[in-house]
Amino acid sequence: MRVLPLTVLAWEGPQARAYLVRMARAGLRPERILLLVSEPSRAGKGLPSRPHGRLMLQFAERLQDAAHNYHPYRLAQQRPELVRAIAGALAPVVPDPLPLLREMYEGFSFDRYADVVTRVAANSYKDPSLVAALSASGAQTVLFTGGGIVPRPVFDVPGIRLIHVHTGLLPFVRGADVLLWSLLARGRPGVSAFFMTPGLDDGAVLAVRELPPLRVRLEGGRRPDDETLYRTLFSFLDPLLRAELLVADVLAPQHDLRQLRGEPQDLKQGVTYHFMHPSVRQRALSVLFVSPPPRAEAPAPAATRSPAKYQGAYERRSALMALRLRIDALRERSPLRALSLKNRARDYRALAANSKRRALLAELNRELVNQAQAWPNYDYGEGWFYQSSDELGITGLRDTSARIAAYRLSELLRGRRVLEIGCNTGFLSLALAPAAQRIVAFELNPHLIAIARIAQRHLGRDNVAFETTAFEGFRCEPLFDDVLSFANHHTYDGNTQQSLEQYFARCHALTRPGGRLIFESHPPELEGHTFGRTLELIERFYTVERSEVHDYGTFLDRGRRFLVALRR
Amino acid sequence: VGERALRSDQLQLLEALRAALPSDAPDAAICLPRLVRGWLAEQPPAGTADADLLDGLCRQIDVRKKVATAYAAGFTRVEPETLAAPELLAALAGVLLASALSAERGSALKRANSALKALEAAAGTRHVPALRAWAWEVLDRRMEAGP
Repeated sequence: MRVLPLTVLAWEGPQARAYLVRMARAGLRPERILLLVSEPSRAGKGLPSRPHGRLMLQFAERLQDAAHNYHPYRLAQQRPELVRAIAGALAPVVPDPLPLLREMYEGFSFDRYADVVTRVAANSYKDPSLVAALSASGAQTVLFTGGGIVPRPVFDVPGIRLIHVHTGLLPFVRGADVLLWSLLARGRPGVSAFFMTPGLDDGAVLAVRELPPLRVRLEGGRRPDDETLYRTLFSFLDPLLRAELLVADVLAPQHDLRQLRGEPQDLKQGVTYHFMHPSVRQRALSVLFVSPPPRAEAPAPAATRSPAKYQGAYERRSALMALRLRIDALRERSPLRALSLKNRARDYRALAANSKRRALLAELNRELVNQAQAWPNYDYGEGWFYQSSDELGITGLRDTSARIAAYRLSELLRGRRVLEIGCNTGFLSLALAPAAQRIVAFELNPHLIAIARIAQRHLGRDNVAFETTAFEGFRCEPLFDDVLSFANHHTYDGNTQQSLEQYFARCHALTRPGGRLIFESHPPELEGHTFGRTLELIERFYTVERSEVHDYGTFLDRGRRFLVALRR
Repeated sequence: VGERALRSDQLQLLEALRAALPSDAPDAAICLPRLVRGWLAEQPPAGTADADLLDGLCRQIDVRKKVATAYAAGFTRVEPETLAAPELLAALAGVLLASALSAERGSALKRANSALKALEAAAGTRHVPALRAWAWEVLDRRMEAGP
């Protein structure tokens, strides 16, 4: 082991551990570790540390380990496939990463990585005890392992130089969330080591590397949420990228740490980035974490899936129905199907003694039973309804009334001849019928059209015509004032084979001169970050007049693009 | 795929934002309503917006998490501080998005990010859905254009 004239200022967490583990693998040890031990109850209030006895310090260190490494420990235990995927992505730039990641979180002890490990009770970098400890140690070259801005008094410690590594290519990428910003702005991660200053990432540069584009290939199944992916990134990937640059380029045997010289940055270049908004972060994460294409979920066991088991409760009122649905919702593994069961329960409760409404729902449910038995493709309603209808007392996965209000559809379609593509159960068309002059709505699934017709008969809206057909086969004269394409330009059930360009060309062919395309996208997580291309195609045929993103209704309603575009 | 000229709906939106701007703050080195009004009146809008000033405003939105109507030079606080009304924040978001058109990729993405955060503070005002869609469009187009 080569002992380096280096003090590691260890702020407990993935980064400090990654540096030490990677150094050990390269046969390197710092001469000293100054381990900051915070007291959570006081640190949270911004109070400085208090003097501690040895036992208290040990206790605080344990608490700190559990708190600062909560996410990596939990993820390593509960999501081992994510750790494997990260290791796979790192392999081209970090040799044999999986054992390093294991060492970071399995039986790790700072005492194993340096002969001198000094615990310093300090609640932040502003804590006077830190400056005192640094001064007393005589540390000169110090590796910083935390984040944020280091206060001036630390830099005033005689002879001290702090080295920091960040995952952005200096001088181009400075600031916060730099790994993700690097992916967005430059398409690949960069790593830079530099001497810290009281400013933000503006010190002299010791080493830089721009890495090849990284892709973390997620295994099949449900994509973890962005928060999980973000924590995974900073628990496993980002720390090892930094450690690799440090060991390979800064601590390399040919470098004498006492003589290290940095290259001043051209501060006129580059951008200082700040923390990402969730929708920007979602895009950056989608560059890094690659999922298999979305697909319909595998059918659930028939016992929980078939609407047939509930038919009796619509024929004759059942006191046990609500309980039965609640139990089924608890047993259901698919969150969407569980939600549909809850919606069904809610609608059933609201029936009370309304026998006319119950008869209607009995008729509609019978069609859902037929669909479950005969329709081979994806059921967008997940066992109940996809669209809601306030007039019919149906709660769907999408909130029809809120959708109409958010987009101001009644106002938009007043007195117009309208085509709705892929109308599902037709509840949207039926709700818009009082405003429109006439609506033609088609859908490939005959069971959904049967439901639409039952609902139409019940509501008495005779200015709507429902048709069972594929878009490819639909023909109509005269052309329409408005063509509604609501989350239909892609289907992920294989119902249509046409390209996106063919789809919008067909929309265009059905819109009269001067008419409009009224468009709603899929949810952002399904649309991916390819909407720019979809928009390009739309703009080939139409001129965009309104482009909006609304927050309304259910989680499936939120964040969709809404466009009103005039036919070219 | 890449940034082009502003569309007519975007120009109309900027005009509507300008019309809804609150009156100017008292004289200060940085008077936000006056700045924003001036930037929105340009052809193209925000065509000459100063990158350092926009950067300073992004910092107020992203780091300080509040935007005042007036600042002394270097974005130092003016007392008493008056926080920007939602309409002013929405208009500032419009400026950031319009200015993204001529910015290099990194700055354009950064401005879209700050615009989205400003729009959260402007939630409930009339033009937020259109501005949010515009911010997403900046992200889409810049990402699909490649680095």
